[in-house]
Amino acid sequence: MNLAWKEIKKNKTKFIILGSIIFLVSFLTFIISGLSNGLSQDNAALIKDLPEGQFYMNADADATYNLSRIDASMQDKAMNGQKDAAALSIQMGFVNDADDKQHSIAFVTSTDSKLFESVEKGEIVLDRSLEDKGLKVGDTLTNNQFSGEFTVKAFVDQKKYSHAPVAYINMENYKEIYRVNEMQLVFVPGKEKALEIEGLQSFSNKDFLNTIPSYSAEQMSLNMIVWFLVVISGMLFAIFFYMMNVQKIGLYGILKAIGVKTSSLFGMMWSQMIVITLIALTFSVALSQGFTMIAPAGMPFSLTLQTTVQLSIVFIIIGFIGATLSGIQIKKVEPLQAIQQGEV
Amino acid sequence: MAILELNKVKKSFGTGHKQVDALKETDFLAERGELIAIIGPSGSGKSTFLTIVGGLLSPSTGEVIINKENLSSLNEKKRSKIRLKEIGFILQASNLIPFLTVEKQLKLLDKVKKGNMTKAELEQLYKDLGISDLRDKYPSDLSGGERQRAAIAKALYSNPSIILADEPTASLDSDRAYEVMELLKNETKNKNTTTIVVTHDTRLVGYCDKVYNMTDGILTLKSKE
Repeated sequence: MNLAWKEIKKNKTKFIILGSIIFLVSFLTFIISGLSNGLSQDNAALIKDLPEGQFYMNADADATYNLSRIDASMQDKAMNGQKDAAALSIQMGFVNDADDKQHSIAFVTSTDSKLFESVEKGEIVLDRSLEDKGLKVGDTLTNNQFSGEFTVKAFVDQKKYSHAPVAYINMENYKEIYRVNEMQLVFVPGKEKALEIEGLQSFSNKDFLNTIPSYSAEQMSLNMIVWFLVVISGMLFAIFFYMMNVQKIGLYGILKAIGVKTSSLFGMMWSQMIVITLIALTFSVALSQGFTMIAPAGMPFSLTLQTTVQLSIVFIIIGFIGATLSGIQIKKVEPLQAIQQGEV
Repeated sequence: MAILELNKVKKSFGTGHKQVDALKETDFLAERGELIAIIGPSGSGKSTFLTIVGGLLSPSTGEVIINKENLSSLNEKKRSKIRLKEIGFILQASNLIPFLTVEKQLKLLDKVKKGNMTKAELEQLYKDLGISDLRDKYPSDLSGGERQRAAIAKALYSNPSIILADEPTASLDSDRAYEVMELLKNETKNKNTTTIVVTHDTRLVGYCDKVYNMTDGILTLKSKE
């Protein structure tokens, strides 16, 4: 470690360049990951914030919740005795404010449950993003398929569905707007195995998210970008350490010639990798966390400290593997190489 | 008393019709207190000889005996142990560790060789080599002659029995080259070690007790002129 640190101190420029590359790549990965999570939240925060459980929809709906209709008897079977279970429906729609300005929203209605907002007839609870657009508690909103008016009762944080703010309404109002009597879904929280109910198909939260149009395609693309960046970072680590090791073959030969063990040389290389990576990651974690505070309000960006720490651990592991692979040459270096410089 | 003995040592590289005999069958003897030069053109086998003597390369046939230990009968671990204890290498100037000061280079040696040199002995070594003022300097801050003196200090650290020097004056002007040879001669005599210098530079042979010529892998004793 001492030897490793001395080399870093003496060759600051070389190690700063290496650290900068790690910083830039990890920062880019954190930002893309933040955007990915942000878009994911924007697309399905309503579902993602629910506890683990099972969604049920009509087996004939072909895994498309819009086509699902669960009649009263099936609903009773699914909800029977299950604590906090709820029957719910989600439909994309819009409301008009007092200035007749139209706002796209996702109407959500449910039976009584702690997991969803309880709303009286004529009331509406909105996602806070609509407050940012000028709506206030007490405002009245209309919908051309609804005979009455909605009064804004409250705003709730981070409730989005399919990139639209959620609007909780009473079940009776929902039935009037969409001319339906049945709910689309039943959600039963809990980690127990799904019940086998004839005519209903069950989905875990994750499986249900993938039934949302565009969700899986969008997430898959973003996750691919994140993991490509992680893999590219690993390759960069390996290439940079390889280049550094090639430059240092003579030095390793000298160190071996004076009796420094191969394991100590690996220790030296790993120490340098850990020091440089930790410093670079500290900067990129701090900067990306700072970015979450200053990111524009309309930008779907969500990066928790936990995510950055997890990605940082992946970076350290990948850096370790990259450095170790490139370090195999150290094992091959003979002290002879320090002495016999090309001459036989 | 012979400190180094080579009996019928031969080194070949490659096989079949591609085989090259870098060192043909050689017998060699070196006594304590001797400064020996091996001269010869590039590619003649000088460095091969030096690396075999230093235990860094195993001979194809024959035996290398250092201080009564036959290196050929030992495994790499034991050979390495003898190498560290008995042999000091003086390599070309680039063989200093670039990111360590002169003092730290010796401290590293002290750590690796488990410190068998007292502080007073170390101070004497600095003094003998005239590098007391250079101890806080990095190799890049030293002149060619200073670097070579630092390299000699590394080789002499912990009083090895044999010093092997590969072109120790290659990067030096004449004055500095003579200065280095004078130093090696003094250290050889004062500490009763054996020093083998491999060089192209025939001007240096005047400092040596014996001069060998290496041509096409054949080592022959040359009478001093």
